[in-house]
Amino acid sequence: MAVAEMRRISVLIPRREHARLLKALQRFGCVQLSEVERTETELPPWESQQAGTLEEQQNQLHWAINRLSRYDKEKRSMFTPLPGVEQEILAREDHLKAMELVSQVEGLERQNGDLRGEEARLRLQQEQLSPWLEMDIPFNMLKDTAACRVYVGTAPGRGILQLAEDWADRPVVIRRFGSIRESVSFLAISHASQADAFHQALKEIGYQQVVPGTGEETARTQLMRVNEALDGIEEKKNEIVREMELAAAHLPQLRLAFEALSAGKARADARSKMAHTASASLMAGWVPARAAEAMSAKIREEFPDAQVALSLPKEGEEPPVLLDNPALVSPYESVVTGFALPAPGAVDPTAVMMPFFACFFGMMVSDAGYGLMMAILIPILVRIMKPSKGARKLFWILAGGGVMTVVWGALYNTWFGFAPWPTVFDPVNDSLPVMALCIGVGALHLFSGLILGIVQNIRTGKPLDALFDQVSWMLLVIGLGLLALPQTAEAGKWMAIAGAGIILLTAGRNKSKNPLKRLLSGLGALYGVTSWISDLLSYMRLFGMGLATGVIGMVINQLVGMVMSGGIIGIVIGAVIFVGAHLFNAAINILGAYVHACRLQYIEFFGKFYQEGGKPFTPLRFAPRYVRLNDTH
Amino acid sequence: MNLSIGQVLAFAAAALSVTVAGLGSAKGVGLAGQTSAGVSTENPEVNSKLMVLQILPGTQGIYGFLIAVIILVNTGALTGSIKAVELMQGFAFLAAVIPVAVVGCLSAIYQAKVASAGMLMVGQHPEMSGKAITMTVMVETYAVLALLASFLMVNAIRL
Repeated sequence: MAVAEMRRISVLIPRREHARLLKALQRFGCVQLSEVERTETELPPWESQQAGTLEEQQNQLHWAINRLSRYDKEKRSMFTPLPGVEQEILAREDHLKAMELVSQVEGLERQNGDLRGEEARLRLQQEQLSPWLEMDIPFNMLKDTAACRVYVGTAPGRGILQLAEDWADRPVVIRRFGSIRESVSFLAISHASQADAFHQALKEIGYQQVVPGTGEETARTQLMRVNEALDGIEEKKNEIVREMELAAAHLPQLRLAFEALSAGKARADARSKMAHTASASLMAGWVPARAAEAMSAKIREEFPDAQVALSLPKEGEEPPVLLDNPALVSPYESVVTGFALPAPGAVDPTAVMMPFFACFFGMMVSDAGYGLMMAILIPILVRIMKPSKGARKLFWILAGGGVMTVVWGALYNTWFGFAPWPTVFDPVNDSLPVMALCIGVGALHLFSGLILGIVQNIRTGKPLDALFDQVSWMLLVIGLGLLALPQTAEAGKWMAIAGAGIILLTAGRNKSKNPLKRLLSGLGALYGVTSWISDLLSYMRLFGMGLATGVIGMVINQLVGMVMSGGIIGIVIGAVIFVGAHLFNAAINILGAYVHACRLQYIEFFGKFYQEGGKPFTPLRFAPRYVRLNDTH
Repeated sequence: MNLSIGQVLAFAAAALSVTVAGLGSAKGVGLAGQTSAGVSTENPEVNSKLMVLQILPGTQGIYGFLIAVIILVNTGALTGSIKAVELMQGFAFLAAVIPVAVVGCLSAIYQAKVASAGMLMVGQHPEMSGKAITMTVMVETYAVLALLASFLMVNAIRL
């Protein structure tokens, strides 16, 4: 239960060995490299260039994987675990073949783009040709002759009909194509002698000249050609899909190559933090104290030429923060890191927080049936899904919450909304004891926060601060609480007065030298009593959320009871409703319980003592994205 | 069936509790959903984190429903034989649902605004989703307090 102690580690190694050293460190996964102080701060250009190339290739691979995933026939459900691989595979550096595949995918994608452009062009042509299909004259023959004038275009349907009627007995031919609509495509031929008058008449009805096409073929033949071309494009596109599907079969290799590249990128970044001369390389970093000796022994064993030195952090150096807790507690570290890491040297609240978190969670979900499901199903799910480390932590938190939910559900006597036996705490009909219980648990939570504050102050050599800032408040709050009972009122009065006195006199000790001003800020601090009241009241949510689950569960059962009274069909529908509605109720309450349990830690509990501000410990290691590392040890 | 005015007022109280708080939650979840959709188009990977933020303003509607159910249970409406409710008790029911209805409705909308802002933050910095959720849950406190006040009042009306 603590923030892990850190040691400085530095390794001096022949330059030709440094790449192998980085690989070994990555395999060990527990050294975080830090910048070695160098005289020249500029990196050699080829070095940053190399990192840049790696990143570019990484992006290309990522793109190709995303693109190919659409063609991946192998569908994976959310319950299938990621494929497991050995570390050695990720340390390989043969991504050349993968990059070939990437450029093949890029080529296919380019072809696909070209085809789409071509298709759009042909579709447009198809649309232009379609009105002229009935015109059986090749386009290049639509020309004026010595005796005739030719007009091709569109005009309003009504106007064309009128025109045909008006000019019926003159040397003019009008042929309409398609049905009469708002706008009609037509071909008209007039004798040259009538040309001017006819053109004028056409203009009046709204004639617009159109060039439907060129060439020696009719519209119909041209359209046939266009359709053939479109079929060809469709064919080619299918061909591309087939090739993409073939390439998608190589996805596992691509993913592995991506992981290897990422690992290489991590090493390149680490490498740029080292200092190199022509013949030697120097590495500096952090290693958890617990693993430090073993680590340096391992390095010495694998690299007989290396010089390894361990040392305590220097004054003023801020080591990275790693939380180190026993297996039962460690899932809850994710709750702490979700807020902020503790400052180096501050207390790690995880172990103290854990029982409260699980207890609050249980009080809010508060249905023993739901709790049983969580406690049983989640470990099975973890078995099947083999989730990543982060997700696994969340799963275990929920499972632990499930166990506490069974406890509280049994006390509240709620099993899937039913109440099978006598109730210990009945929030609906006798709510005051339950409320008092919630406030009581809250007070315990806040006090344990104060105790952590005392531990922290004593550990940093400030026992007086512990007396002034924490013990004083404990006296005051407990004293005020005791005032409520007549038997203890007298003792409570004196405790409260003592506490208030200490706060009044000491709260302003660092603010000013002027005693009057100190007293004033002491008074201001005493006003903090109100925040204690609101903090305590905040725990009423434990009651409210618990009540919500129970009552809604009860309503569901009543509804189901009504439906089920309607014969066989009613029983079937009722069973479906029962399962669905309880799943919904459980889901929404588990979410609410998790979120509110977090909030009670972050605001109420951490507010009493927490010193945040640590930087996370990020060792050089394999952090795969698409695969899962097999446990080697 | 002859209903007294008191019984009708009790029903009106239950109806108001569900309706007003529910409207607020619907508006809130809708608002948050719009933001969620917008942020997801920019950054699809954070979508699941946004889901939690979107649901949060929905709890007020549940609280309203809860109080309505408790009124119906206490008046015996669910068991089929409605108890006698005096006129003043009916008004007391109406008064009792004010916190959960009004605070529930407005706090859901305010909470949705915080949730939306939080979503924008998560879109840029996915690792800050814990903080965004905490900020959003801050607003919820007052809805919980309103729920408790309404609950205590409703339970204090002995029929």
